[in-house]
Amino acid sequence: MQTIAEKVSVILEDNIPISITWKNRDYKITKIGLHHDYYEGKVLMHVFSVLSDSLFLKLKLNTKHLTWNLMEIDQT
Amino acid sequence: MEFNGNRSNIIHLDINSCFATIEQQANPNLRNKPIVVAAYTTLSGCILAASIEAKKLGIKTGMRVKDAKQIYPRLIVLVPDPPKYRFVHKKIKRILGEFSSNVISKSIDEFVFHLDLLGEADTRRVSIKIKERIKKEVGEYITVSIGISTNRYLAKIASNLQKPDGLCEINKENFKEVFTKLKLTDLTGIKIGNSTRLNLYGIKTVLEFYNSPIWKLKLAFGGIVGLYWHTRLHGYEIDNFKSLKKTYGNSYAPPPNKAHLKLEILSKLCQKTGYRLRKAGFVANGIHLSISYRDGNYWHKSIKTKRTIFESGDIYKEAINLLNENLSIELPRVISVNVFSLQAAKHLQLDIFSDEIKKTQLVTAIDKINNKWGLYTIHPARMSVDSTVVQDRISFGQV
Repeated sequence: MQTIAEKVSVILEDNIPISITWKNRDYKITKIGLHHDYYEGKVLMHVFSVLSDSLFLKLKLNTKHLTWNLMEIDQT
Repeated sequence: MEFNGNRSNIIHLDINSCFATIEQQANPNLRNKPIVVAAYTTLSGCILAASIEAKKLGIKTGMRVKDAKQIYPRLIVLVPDPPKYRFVHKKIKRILGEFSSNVISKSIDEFVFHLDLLGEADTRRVSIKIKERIKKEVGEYITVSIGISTNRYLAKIASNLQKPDGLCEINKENFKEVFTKLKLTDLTGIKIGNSTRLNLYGIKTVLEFYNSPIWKLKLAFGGIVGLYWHTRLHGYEIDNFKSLKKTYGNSYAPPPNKAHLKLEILSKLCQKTGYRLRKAGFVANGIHLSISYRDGNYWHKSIKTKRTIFESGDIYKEAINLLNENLSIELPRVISVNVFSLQAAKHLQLDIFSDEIKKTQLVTAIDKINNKWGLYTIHPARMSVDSTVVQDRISFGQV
């Protein structure tokens, strides 16, 4: 598991991420493992644990600033 | 007393290998692999949950990562992610709430509830439906074991009969068959100590325990507890009481490289304790500080405070007063702070030497800011700001 914490751009379909762009490379999301949310103070965060083929990505949406962060990647 | 002949309408639901299964749900790459969730990923980290695959290899909760890696060197070790587990807990509770008006969370991975006016066949049908809903709405990899009986205790025992993904019932028809297959220590609450007590009175099996007269159990357990056991095993409810919270506290086991930061850790523990105390609407009149040391020694002290405490700085001052009485120079293994003698915050005793009303207003304002921007946004300069010190954890029996 590698911690990243970098801003990324995400394409959504029906409020579900279908593709992300990180370091000028597109990653197509092939499976959603879990979508959960929690509060940081009063700000609601949505976390998507997803796969892009065999690469695991953890994405966080800050609903106040509407920014996406790639939090972790893992290729177990 | 005969076994309770009422319909089995109490359900105990247990999420199998909770933290580990949720991690496997989130990251499909981890599925069908031995993984553990441990307090720390270092070799001395304590395992909090092992996946079903890791359990099959003999890796258990409470083991050190080092020992587990000796069993399976390629073991994947993850750190806990409490918001993820709380989310799954809430989502399952919401589903259960559609089947019962009285769902009780026993811990992060256990629920108990009753179904009204349903026959036995219906209770089973509802249980199957619940399992399907969890798979569909929470995650296809998450499995639960469900136990059904006439009381909470036997429902829990039933939930342990088949893991993972079990659905078992203990009722008037099958209780003898179930009890015959169990050892005394398979019963929740009966471990080596209680099993030895029972053995001394010639009770060596669960069926003998069930058939023992109340007077014998009273002798074995030394009083009323014997009657409670007799009632429980006969399927009657005795555990449906609400326990009152009498203390608030936090503890932290610092890794060796942070163990010297005693005051910084203590300050953070007091901040967290004070925040939780105030959030629950209480003030305290006593404090307890305990420290276990790396050399195996243990020190603790508690006092009833002269004034009511609720502000985290005051809790810290009282804790420091206690700490000054401790002369040990050893590095701590676990530091723990608790406040007790709780009373509702509305009965605030005014102090002639300090302005309690002003203090209350200040604390309320700080809590508001911390609620909005996150805990520790405003904190004492002394406090450790390292986010890995006193992390968010799910304690035993809590959510």
